[in-house]
Formats: sequence, structure tokens, C-alpha cells
Amino acid sequence: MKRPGLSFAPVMLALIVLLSAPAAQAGSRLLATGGVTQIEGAAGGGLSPWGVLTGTASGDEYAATASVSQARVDDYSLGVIGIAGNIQDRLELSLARQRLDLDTLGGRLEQDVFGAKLRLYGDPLYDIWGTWSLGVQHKRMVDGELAKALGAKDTAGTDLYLATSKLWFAAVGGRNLLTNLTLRSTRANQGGLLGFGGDQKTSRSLVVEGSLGLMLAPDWVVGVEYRQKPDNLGVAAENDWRDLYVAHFFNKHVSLTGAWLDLGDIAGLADQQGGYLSLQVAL
Amino acid sequence: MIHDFHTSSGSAARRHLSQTSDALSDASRASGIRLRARLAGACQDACRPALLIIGLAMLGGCAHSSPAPSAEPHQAGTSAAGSTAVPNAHSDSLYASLGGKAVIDAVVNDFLYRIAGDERIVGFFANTNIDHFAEAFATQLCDISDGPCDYTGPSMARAHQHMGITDAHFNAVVEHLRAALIDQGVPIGPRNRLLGRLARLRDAVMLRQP
Repeated sequence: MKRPGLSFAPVMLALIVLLSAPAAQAGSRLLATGGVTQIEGAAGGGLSPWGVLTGTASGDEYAATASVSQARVDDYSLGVIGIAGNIQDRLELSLARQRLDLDTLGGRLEQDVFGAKLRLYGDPLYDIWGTWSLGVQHKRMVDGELAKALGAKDTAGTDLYLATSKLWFAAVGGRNLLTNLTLRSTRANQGGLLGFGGDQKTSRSLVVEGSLGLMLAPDWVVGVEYRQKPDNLGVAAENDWRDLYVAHFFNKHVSLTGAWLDLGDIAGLADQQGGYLSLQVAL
Repeated sequence: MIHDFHTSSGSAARRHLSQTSDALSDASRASGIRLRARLAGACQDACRPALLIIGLAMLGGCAHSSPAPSAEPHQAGTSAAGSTAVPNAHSDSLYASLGGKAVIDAVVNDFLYRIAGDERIVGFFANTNIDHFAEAFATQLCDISDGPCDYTGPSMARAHQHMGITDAHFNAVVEHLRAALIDQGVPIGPRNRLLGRLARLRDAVMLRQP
């Protein structure tokens, strides 16, 4: 995985090329219908995976996306690098590396997330019931010592989720509204960065995640997200996550997402709020 | 009265298309004439007569190229015995919000230029009578937006059957129509309402693809 040390020149050059690339080189699905990349590497908003698959590939096309994301809240910084592929708008495969810097406490936690998402049914634009996808995220901590010390039972775990997305035409002030609902089965503490299971609860929890995205224009989306979370660790209570976001799609190849995060308590430090920025490129 | 209005206005649109086409000779914006030529060239014996059509995928307006009684352009559905040239669509109808016949005709022309320049799609128009298609499509847009028209052409399933339209073709056409709506100045509200209504036709369009 690349590190901040890499030269920016080739990155900027690639960005410029992609920003000016003809849309015909991209998949045929409409702009923004692949969402952006959520922090675990799946197509979604910032926090929650959506029912859509990454990129704009349709039934006989392929897409690949890469993303770099950075969140900075009061006492922590999270960096995520992800890649994902879309096989004929049926199967999404993704890989993400998360790096959480404990700015106040000192130290760093990392985990890899191997994701797959199978589109079961439908299309967010053309089907009354939207699109439905079944996803899995297998997470492995790089070093689980801190998580174990906090009471986590395991340093690897697998989330399963069912997600649905639907676009409502001209729903609010003539703007299209995208709604997403995700049901997740998980044992992860703080998404897995603090391990899996704990002294309070070792088994899986069923949690709900939802988001709204209002398409101010075909290339601008503003919205809110909410992600319910388990609370397994006695010494490190956690809260649900939420955010307000705005995403701009320069074209089918480049999108930039900004968000205001409210992540609640994390590992004993209260009320973590801050900003989030995510860049996605797609081929 | 109304019919006269539509007819004359339609002719103007055709002339406009011709004139504009001649002015736009670059490859990306093929003219109506070139569109016809390209279409004819793109389809040899592979094109079954029934497919002459039109088609396009989505959204809408598709008509047989045969002079079937399919689409009577902008038939006046309601009365408006009034003397003005304004069709009797309710002023708060989607049709009126879109801008009425003038805007719909402009959108259809804009859309056709885009189709002509898209090699993924243009082959479906081989042997298509473009004037006929343009009128049928405009009539359908008028009808579906509650305007004073009655689309009497073939169903979307029949108009597109066995054409081999894929999701990619369909999506490309939607994208072209949306771009045409934007470039012709249709406000976002009416634009999305129209696209929402057309989106419901998608299942029918894709129903009988191989």
C-alpha cells in the first residue's frame, strides 16, 4: 500500500488526465450512480455501504475504482486507501487498508478489509423497489494488542450486510433523492479497529445504517448518514456514527467527497467530531 | 387550429434541423442528413424491416419507419377552441413546465444530434425515417408530460423488440436525453419529473431483448 511519501507529480498528472477524459471511456450508468467509496472500501457514502456497486459499469461492462480518504476528529486521524472492481454490475470486490492514528493517546491501529458485494436485484433508477445487494466484509487487524487489552475477544471478524438503494425522481424541490438502507450483522468494535466482540457482548449484533442523498444537480450530492454500532467493550463505550456530506462528481472518473463527522466516544475519549475528505478515481 | 399550429411548427423544426445540420459539419455533431446517411450505411441486410425503427432505447419515442398509422404528430387531444396558438395544456402541467412544444422539439433535435454522434447507438437508427421518429418521439414526450397529444404508436415493448438493446445502450440513450434537456434549458424540476416518468418505461423497452 502506498504511503504519503509518494511523489505527488504522477498523481496530479493522472488526475488531470482523468478530469479531462471523455465520458465514453467510462461505464454507461449515469453519473454518481455508483456512489463514492465508504471507509471500508465498498461503494457507498462515507460511513455506510450502499446497494449500488462501484463505478458506472452496467451489465456488460467492468469498472475499477481507487480511493484515498482522510478523517480527522478531535483525538484521532483515520486514513483509508481502497481499491475496488465492478464485474458487470453484478459483483463488487474491494480491498481497503485503514490506518487509525491515536493522536492523543499515541500509537497506530491498522486493519485490512476484504469486501465483496453481490447485486441481487434491481436498479436504483428503474425499479420500483430499487436495487438490493448482499455484502460481506472480512476484517483483519494488523496488530491486535491494544484491542485485546481493551477487552476485545478477536482481532479478525466478518460483517454481513444487506443494502438497498433507491432514487426518487424530483422528490424534493424538483431534485432527485437517493435513499439507502443497510442492515448489518457485526461483532466489530469501532468498525473493527478495536477488535471484535468484547466483555459486554461477544455475539453478533444486528445494526441499521441509513443515508439520504439529495442530488442538487446531476454532479452534486448533499446528504446525511447514520450508522448504528454495537457497544461490546466495557472500558471503551462507543456510539453510533453520523455525518453530513457533500460530494461532487467532476465526471465519471473523479469525485471528491467532504463530510462533517460526529463519531461519539472512541476508546475512552468523548465526543469525537471533525472533518472527512475522500477522493475517488474510476476507470 | 391547434393541429395547424403543430404542423407548421413541426415543419419549422424540420427546416431548422436541416439548416442546423448543414452548419454543423463536424463529426461529433452529425447533421440530420448525415444522420440518415450514417444510419442507412450502418444497416445492411442485417436489419429486419420491422426494426426500422427507431429506436432507441429508452425513453421513449419510438416509431416504425414504415408509414404506419403509428404516430400522428401532436394530435390535439383537447379542445381549446380558443384562438391563440397556445395548446390547451393546463398551465401547471408538466408539459407547460417543460416549455411546451417549442422546447420539446428543441430537445428532440438536440437529442438526435447526440445520437448521431454516438457510434454505440447510431446503428439502431439504420433505415429509420428520422423526421418520422422525431415527430413520434416529440409526441410521446408531449403525451407523457400531460400535454395535448396522444401517442398512438407501438408500445415500448413492441417498438424495441429483438433489437439487441443492452443496458449500456439504454443508459447511453438516457444520458443523451438528459444532456439534451439540460442544454435546452429545461429546469431541474420538470426535467427530473419527465425523466422519472420515462424511467418507468424501461422494463417495457428491455422486455423483449435477446
